[in-house]
Amino acid sequence: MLLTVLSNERVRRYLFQAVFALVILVFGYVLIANIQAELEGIGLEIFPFVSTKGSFPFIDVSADFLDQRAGFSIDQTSFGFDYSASDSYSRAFITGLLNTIQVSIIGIAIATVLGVIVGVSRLSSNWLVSRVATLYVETFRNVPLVVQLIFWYVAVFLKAPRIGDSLDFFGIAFLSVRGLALPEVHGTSGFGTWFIFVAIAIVVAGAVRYLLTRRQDETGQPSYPWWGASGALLAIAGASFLILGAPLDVDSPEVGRFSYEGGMTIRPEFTALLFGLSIYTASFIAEIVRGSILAIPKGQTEAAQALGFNGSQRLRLVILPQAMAIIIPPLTNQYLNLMKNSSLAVAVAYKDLFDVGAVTINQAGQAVPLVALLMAAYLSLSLTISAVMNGIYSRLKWRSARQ
Amino acid sequence: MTAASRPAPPVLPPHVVAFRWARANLFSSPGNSVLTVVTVVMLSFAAFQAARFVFATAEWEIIEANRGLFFTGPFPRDEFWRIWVLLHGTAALSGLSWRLWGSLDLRRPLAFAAACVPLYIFMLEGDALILTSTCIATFAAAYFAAWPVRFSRFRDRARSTTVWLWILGFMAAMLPTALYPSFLPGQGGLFSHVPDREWGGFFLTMVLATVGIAVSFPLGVLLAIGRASTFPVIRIFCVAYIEMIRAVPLVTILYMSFFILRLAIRHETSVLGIPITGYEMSVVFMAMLGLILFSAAYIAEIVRGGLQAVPRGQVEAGQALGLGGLQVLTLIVLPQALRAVIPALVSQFISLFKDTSLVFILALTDLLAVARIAPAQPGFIGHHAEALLFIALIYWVVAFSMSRASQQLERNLGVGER
Repeated sequence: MLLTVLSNERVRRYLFQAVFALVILVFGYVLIANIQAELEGIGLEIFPFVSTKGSFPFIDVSADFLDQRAGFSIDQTSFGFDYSASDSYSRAFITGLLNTIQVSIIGIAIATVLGVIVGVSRLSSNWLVSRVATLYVETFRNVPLVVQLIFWYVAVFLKAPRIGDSLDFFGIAFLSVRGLALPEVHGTSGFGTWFIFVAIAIVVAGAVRYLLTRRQDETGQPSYPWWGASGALLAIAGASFLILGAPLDVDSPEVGRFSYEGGMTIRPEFTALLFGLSIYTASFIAEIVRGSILAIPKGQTEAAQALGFNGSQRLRLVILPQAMAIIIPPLTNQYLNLMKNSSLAVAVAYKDLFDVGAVTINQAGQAVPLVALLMAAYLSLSLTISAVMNGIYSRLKWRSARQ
Repeated sequence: MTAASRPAPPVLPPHVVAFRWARANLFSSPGNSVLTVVTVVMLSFAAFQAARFVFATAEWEIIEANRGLFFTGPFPRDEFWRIWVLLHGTAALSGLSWRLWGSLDLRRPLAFAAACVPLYIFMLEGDALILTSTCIATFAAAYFAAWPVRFSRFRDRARSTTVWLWILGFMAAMLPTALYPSFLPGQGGLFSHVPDREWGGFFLTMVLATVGIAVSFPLGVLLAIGRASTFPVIRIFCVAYIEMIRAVPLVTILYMSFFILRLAIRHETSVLGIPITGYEMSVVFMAMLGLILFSAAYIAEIVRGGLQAVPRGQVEAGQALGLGGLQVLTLIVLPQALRAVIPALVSQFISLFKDTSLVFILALTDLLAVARIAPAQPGFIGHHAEALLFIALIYWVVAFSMSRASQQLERNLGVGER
């Protein structure tokens, strides 16, 4: 009887999966029960965010310990978010999250530009340039990022001269052990009005591009839609800028006795993190760019030549659109890596999400919920980047399919 | 004959050859010429600054004085012989493998080794110098011992024997630790116990990397097979695991391992009378576990790509030969899938090697931690740059050799040539 049932393929499949599920469930149960038991021994809860008292969905993000006074200061905050040492742990956590987001966005921008330049340079016909690009890639790719970060921080930015002897970059920017001082741009009273003009300019530029593209499609004569659109944008935005009397105020830094006066000062921790992350990730992006360009069949270039396209047209209209489709998935991985690697800020004492989490674990002792919270926060950041990049990718595929 | 009838190409004087080469490769257009000049200026400046630092500003005594610390951390001196035994075994097996699989062209590897000569001179003295020399001699002896086998009919048997020797050697090396893990009571026995918090430096880095690679690779392959399986329960579990791990940074996984999993393993529980938890695990073990759990997810994703690349016809052909599901998988699909993803796998192994540097957040004394401690000693205060550049060089040499070895392996297996 049993043997007949077992000889049935479908029954065997279900049985196998049931056993697997059972093992996993028992394993998971033991895991959670053990953690709970260990924590009860020291009077802690496994997951203080879930309260059985409140209303549905029973999630109480303001768990007791998160409302306590954090007591540590965060030297640099992002997006104008206010934080002081007397704020709560949850506010410190949000500050850290915003810092992570900020360094990731800037880092991604710099790494992409640098990576494309290095990647294209590796394919350059100029022997010296391609060798230098290869040297760059092989050097930075094969040394752990955290070693590079600590090097930039301890051996470069903390070894910068004292503020009195700041390195002077044409009187615009200054570098010292206090940080990098840059001019800051403020909007004055007319700035809001100018912003409306810029919005109008963008709409007009869009219309110009649409009309010129249509004319080009109808007549077959090149009518340079992108030049027209950029011209319209610059003309309207520039003219209104002048008419409104330049509603931007540039606040240049000046070297003071103990700190820079005016402008904005970027602390060495942030500069080191940004440097390290962008330079390291750029070496990987460069390889992706190079590989994708090499993956385009040579016949494509030759066909474009046969059609009479010049160098920049070949790159812009034939090679890059095809290379983009190959670049984006691995590029997304690099963006995710950069965001995840920003957690190494802990090595240079920059208060990002992970560093704030680590300090909170040290102070509040609630390691289990905090590690879970950290992982959840990084998970959602990863999902956001993936979603954005997938959106771009499917849009690109849709456009190339339409053409 | 045809060669004789055709006029020989004129032999150009070297300066003309150089001039033509420069015109073609450096000054082919005005833009290129400007680029060349700018690059030369910037390169000379960078080279000058670097040379000034290396030969004038830097004080390399910090490295010389801390040789032991860099290589083994706080490992007890009396027990150094274990590491030397390990190194000699590795050298012998490497020599064998090189002859049996490696390229016959020794020029590049020898040039690379020659380039590292300053490093050896700098690092070695006394016992270390002698023992390193015997290591190199062991390597050479094994290489030449395997000399006749390469092209004989015993080659395949020699290769499989070597693979088994590697596996057995790895297990033998792990045995003393496995016999005296910190969670088992009782000390002594055949060897005295070196607690793993006394492991450190480059040795710890290599232990973490080797164990990490050796364990996470099979685990990753299993996860990839699970993800490709037709059992929905297994597939969902594998997908959830892989995607979850890949979405968070390694440091959070290390924290999870250290703060959460350690608690779970510490508490005593038995299922059906079998005690499955209740062990006090060391920090090194938890760091290894974190690295393995992390790396396995990435390896699974790479192997999945390889599995997808194997044509469906291969599976069908295997079935037509009467092979069972497991046989099709292990004899037909996996060999092809793994061969197709060697470069990606090796770069993942390199990543894992570099990622071992993150164990500093668990306060372990790995190579990076030593470079952070050394400049705090009196006499070497503030010489961070020297220590960091030195370990960067070590990391670079290992990572670069691994990537070159993978290119060699790829060429030998003929990937992409058919």
